Amino acid sequence: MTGTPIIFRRELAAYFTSPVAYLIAAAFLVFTAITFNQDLAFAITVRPVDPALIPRVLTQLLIFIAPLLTMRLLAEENREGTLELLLTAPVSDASIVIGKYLAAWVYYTFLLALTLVYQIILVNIAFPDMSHTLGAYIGIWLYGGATLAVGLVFSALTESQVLAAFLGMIALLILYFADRIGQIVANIDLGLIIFQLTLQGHFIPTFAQGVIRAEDIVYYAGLIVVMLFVSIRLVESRRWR
Amino acid sequence: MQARSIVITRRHLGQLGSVLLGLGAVVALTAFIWSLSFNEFVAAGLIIGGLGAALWAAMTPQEFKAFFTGRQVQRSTSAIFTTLLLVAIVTVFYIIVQRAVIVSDLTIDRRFTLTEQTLELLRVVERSPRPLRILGFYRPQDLLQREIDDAYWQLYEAASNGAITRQYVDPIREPGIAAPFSQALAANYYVFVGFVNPDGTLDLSTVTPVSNQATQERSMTEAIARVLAGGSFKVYFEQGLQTLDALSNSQQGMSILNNNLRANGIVTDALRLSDLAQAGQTIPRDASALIIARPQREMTDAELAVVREYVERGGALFIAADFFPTSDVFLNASSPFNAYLWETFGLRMTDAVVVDTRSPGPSALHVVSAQVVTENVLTAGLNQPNDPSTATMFHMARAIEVNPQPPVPNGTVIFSSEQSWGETDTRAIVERNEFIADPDADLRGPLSLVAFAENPATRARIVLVGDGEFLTNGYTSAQSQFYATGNATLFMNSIGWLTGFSQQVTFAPRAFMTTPVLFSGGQQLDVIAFITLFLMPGSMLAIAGFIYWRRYRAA
Repeated sequence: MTGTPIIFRRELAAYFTSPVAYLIAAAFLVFTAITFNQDLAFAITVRPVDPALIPRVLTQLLIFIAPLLTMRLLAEENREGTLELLLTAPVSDASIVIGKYLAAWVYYTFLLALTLVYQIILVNIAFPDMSHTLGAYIGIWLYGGATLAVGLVFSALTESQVLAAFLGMIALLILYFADRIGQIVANIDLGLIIFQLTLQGHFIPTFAQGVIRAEDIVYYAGLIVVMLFVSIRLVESRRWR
Repeated sequence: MQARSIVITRRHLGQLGSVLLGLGAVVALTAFIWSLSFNEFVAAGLIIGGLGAALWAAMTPQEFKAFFTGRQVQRSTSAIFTTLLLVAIVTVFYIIVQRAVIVSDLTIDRRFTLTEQTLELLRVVERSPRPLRILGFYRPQDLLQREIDDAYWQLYEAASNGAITRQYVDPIREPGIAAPFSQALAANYYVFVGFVNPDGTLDLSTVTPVSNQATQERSMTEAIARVLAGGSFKVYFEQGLQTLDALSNSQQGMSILNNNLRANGIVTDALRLSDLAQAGQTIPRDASALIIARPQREMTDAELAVVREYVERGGALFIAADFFPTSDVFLNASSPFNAYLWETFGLRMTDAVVVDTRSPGPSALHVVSAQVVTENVLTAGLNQPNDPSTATMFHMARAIEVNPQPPVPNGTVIFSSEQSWGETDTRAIVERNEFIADPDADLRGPLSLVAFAENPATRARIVLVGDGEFLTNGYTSAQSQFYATGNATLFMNSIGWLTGFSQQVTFAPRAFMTTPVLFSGGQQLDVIAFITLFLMPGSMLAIAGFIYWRRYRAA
C-alpha cells in the first residue's frame, strides 16, 4: 500500500490542474445556489431554513456527479493502455484503486466545502441549527464517498468512459429509487430489506434530521469497502484474463 | 444470385444453451426474491436453466467443462467467494451495530433525545408488571415514514430496557389485526400504544392512539402516560335529570365524547342523583368527576344535598346547562343550586341568552368562541391561528355571571365578542325569533360562556358551561354541519383538569431555539443572490479559463 500516496497525489493534481474540474464546480455551485436562494425566499419571516437543504439536494445531484468524477479514473487508463504500465510498476492493485478513489473523494470534499458559504450566510441573517447542519454534511460526505465507490466499479469494468458513466448512473439511480421499488413489493418485509439497502434509506430518516446512527455510518463505510474490493478484483482480473 | 443458407452448428446450440442457463437462473432467483416462496416462476426458471445446461453440455461438452474448471473460472470463483465473504462480514457487523442502537442527536434542541420527563416515565414502565407495545400501521408506500418514526420509537424501547417493544403491521396484508383500529386509522391515527397480554397479544381495552404531530416525543409520552393512568380515573354521567344519553349515538346523544373519554383510558359510568337521594346514598368514592350534561329540569332539594356532600369532600363538577323555555329550567334565577354555586364558587347561571352579531356561525344565536382566555390546560388547542374549526360553537348559550370578589379562585375560560349581548326577552326569541339589544334590560357583552372555579382547601373544582347542546353528537361529529373540533377539545380539557388526569399525563411543551430568517432590507437578498449565483460560480469559471489559457500558451 506504499504506492497509494503517490497515486493519490498524481490523481489529485490531475483534478485540480484540469479546467474541467472547475467547470464541474461552477455548474455544481449554480445548481446549489438556485436551490439555496429559492428556499431563502420562501423562508423569510415564515419558518427557519432547512438545515439539511443542500445535503438533501446533493443526494439527487450525486447520481449524475459521482459517475462523471469517477468515469475516467480507470476506464481512461484502460483505453489508453497506461493501466498495463501501472500494473507493471511496483505498486499493488489495491494502491492504484484506493489512491484514485481517495483523490476523487477529496475533490468531492472540495466541492462540498464550497457550499459551506451558504451556511456562513445563514449564520449572519438568522439563528440556524448548525449542529443539525453538521450532521447532514457528515451524512452527505459519506453518501458521496459511497456513490464514488460505486462509480469506480464501472470505471474498472469498461474501457469506455461514457459507458462507465452511464452504467454508474443507472446503478446509482437503482440504489436511489430502490426505496420506491420496496414500496411496490407486496411483501413489506422484503420491501424493508430493499429499503435498508438504499442510499436514501440511510440518509433521509437520520442524517437529514440531524441524527447520526452508527448503523448508517457502517452502511456507507461497508458499501465503500465492498465496492473498492470489487474494483480491486476487477483490476486484478486483467492479470489472469 | 446465390441464396445464403443459415447453418446451425453444435457451437451455436451450445451458446444457446449457456444463454438459457443464465436466463433461467436469473428468472428463478428474481422470482424467489420477489415472493420469498417457491412458486411457478421459480420452477419455470429452474426448468429453463436445467434444459439450457443440458443443451450446453451435450453440444459443446469441452467448453462446458472448461467453463467450470478453467484457470479463469477458478480465479473468478475465488474473487466472487471472497467478495461474498466480505459482504457477509459487513452485513453481520451492520446487524450488530443496528441492534446496539448507537445514536447521536446533533440537533440544537435535542429533538431526538428523550427528555428527563420521558425517561422518568419510562422508569415507571420498566417497573410495571405488564410490558407495553407500540403498534404502528404502515403500508408498503409508507416505509420512509416508518423508518423516520422507528428511529424515534426505538429510543423508547432502548430507554425502557425492552419493557416497551415495537410492532409494525401492514394493514393491507393483515386486515384482521387492523380491523379493531379501522375508525382510528380512518381518522389518520396510525400509531397506538397499549399493554401486552401474557400470551403476547395486545390488550385492546388498554390501547390508546398516539396523535401524529411533529412533536413526536410529546405525543408518545402522553399516550404512554394515558395507558399507565388507564382505569385509575372514573367519571359519572348524571342520567336522571333528563340529561344527554351518554350511550346514544343519535344526533342528540353524547356517545362520541363518551367514547373519547374511554379511548383516553378514563372509565365512564352512569348514576341517577334521584336514586342516590332516595336510597340515602352518596356519589361513589371512585368518582373523579360528575358530568351533568344538558339537564332539562331543576334538582330537588334531596338531589342537591347529594351534590353538596360530593363537592364538600372535594368532588369535581362539569355542568353544561342549556336554555329551555320552561319555568323549571335547570339553574334558573331562583334555583337553590344556582345560589349554592354562587355562594361556593362565585359563579351562577343567568337566564339571558347570548346573541352575538359578530359570530361567523349560521346565526347570531350560534356563538363561536370569540375570545379565549390566556393559554392554560382548559383552553389548550382552542382557537388555533388559521384554523377556524378549533373554536367552540354554542347554540342559544346562557351567559354566566362570575363574581369578581369570589370566595375561591375562579375565572372565565371563553367570552363572547364585544358586539354580543345577553338577551333577557327570551320569549321573543322563542316565539318570534326576534332579538334586539335593549341597553336597559339586556346584559352588555362580552359575556362569559364558560367559567371555572377551584377551592384550594377542599380541592373541589367546577367547570360551568352556558350551553349543553355543544356536547351532542350533532355538534361533535365530523359529518355534522355544526361540527367544530373546539367543542370536543373544550370537553376533554375540562374533564382532564377536573379529574387531575391532564396533570398526570401532560408533557411540558418544549421550546425550540431556531428562528426564521429575518432581513433588515430586501437589498440583502439581492446581495446574497449575487454572491452565490454569480460571484462564486464566476470565480470557478475564471480559474478554469486561466488554466486553459496557460495550457494553451504552453502548447
